[in-house]
Amino acid sequence: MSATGTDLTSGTPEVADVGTSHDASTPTGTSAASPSSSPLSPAETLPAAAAPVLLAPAAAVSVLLCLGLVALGVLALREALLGREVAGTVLVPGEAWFSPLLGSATSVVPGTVAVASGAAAALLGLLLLVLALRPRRVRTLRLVDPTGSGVPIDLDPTAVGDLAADTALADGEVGASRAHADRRRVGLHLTVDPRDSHDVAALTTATLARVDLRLADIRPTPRVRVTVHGARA
Amino acid sequence: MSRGVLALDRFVLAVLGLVLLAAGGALVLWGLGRWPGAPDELDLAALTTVPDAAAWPWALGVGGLVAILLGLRALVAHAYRRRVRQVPLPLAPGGAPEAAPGGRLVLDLPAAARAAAQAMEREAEVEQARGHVVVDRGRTVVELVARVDAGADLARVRTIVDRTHAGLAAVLPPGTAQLRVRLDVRRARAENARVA
Repeated sequence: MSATGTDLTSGTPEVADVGTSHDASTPTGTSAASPSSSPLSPAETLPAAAAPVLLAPAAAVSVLLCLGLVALGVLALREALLGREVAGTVLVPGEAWFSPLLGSATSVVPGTVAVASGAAAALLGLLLLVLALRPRRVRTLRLVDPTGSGVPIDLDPTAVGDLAADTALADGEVGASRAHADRRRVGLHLTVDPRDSHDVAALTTATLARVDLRLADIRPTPRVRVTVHGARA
Repeated sequence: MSRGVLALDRFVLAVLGLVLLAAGGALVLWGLGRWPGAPDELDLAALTTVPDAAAWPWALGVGGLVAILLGLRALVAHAYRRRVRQVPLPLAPGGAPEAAPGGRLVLDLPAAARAAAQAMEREAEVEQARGHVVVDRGRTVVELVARVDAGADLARVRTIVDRTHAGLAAVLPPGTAQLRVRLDVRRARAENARVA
């Protein structure tokens, strides 16, 4: 006996049940084998995942090092085949690059070059150590459930900026709005009609109040800064 | 990329960093003449004869080949994404999947994720939704991405998400996966109509 998810979900009436069941303990018609009679709550059966994170700096540096290693290997292989002939044809023409490097210095004495090279190596080592230990950064903000029971909803900073910019447009005085946002701040730029007179302070306060309310359930709650353009001085 | 590969990345970078830090520090001390007992000159003359050795091209060739293979293997390990397709279902409520005699029942997890996304899409507030399964930090995660208008009622969106969550939880066996919901926000308007 076998029942795949395709059977359960590919356009059959059960599809609707997947998303429209109000109660996890109510049988949804998916299958008799479905664990719908489980006494567990949705949060226990299907807990919320951790917030998405950016690529670790260590992984990014490692990929670059891997590419460097491949390039170094190709160069070494090239030099190994340099000047070799197969059926009268030179496989790889050109000059050697590694061999002259080995003969470029016969001795090293203490001095400025040694100190500078050592300092550069130590700095690079320190940088690699920091990158190796640096944790992955969370890349989204979360719309939390005020009751604390629901799944948090992730939003990119750009999405939060768009929510704020759209909220600002609710004021008829505002002609256009755009936002730039990161995980901590939202910068709102409002454009008003320069032909009309505007109370910039009142507009800023009203917009801030409206946007703060709109973003109240977002964590970490971003700091909003409003700039008004086009108003007469 | 798995957690093991990331751990290896961190370990290799840390070792490389420590070696560079120690070697660089030693070179600075030696260069400043503050390393008592260290030789006044490093003789590198022996290195100049290395390219003349008969084994030099072979060493270069084998070394180069090993570097290429090692580099490519590491790149593949970084690009690898573990996929989860099917999860076992118990044949009877509360029963263990492996205890079923004469067959097995499996659930296509990506199909369940897509069905949940389709259910979200049927709501007026959601313009578009996608569902897929990823393995994030060792956990199987059902990821739903819903696109809503910037003016959407977030409380209503929250209700839709909660309903979808309950629906998926009713289908999936406990502990199978975790859920992540992401909102894509689309601005239908950037200007009010009266702008000149």
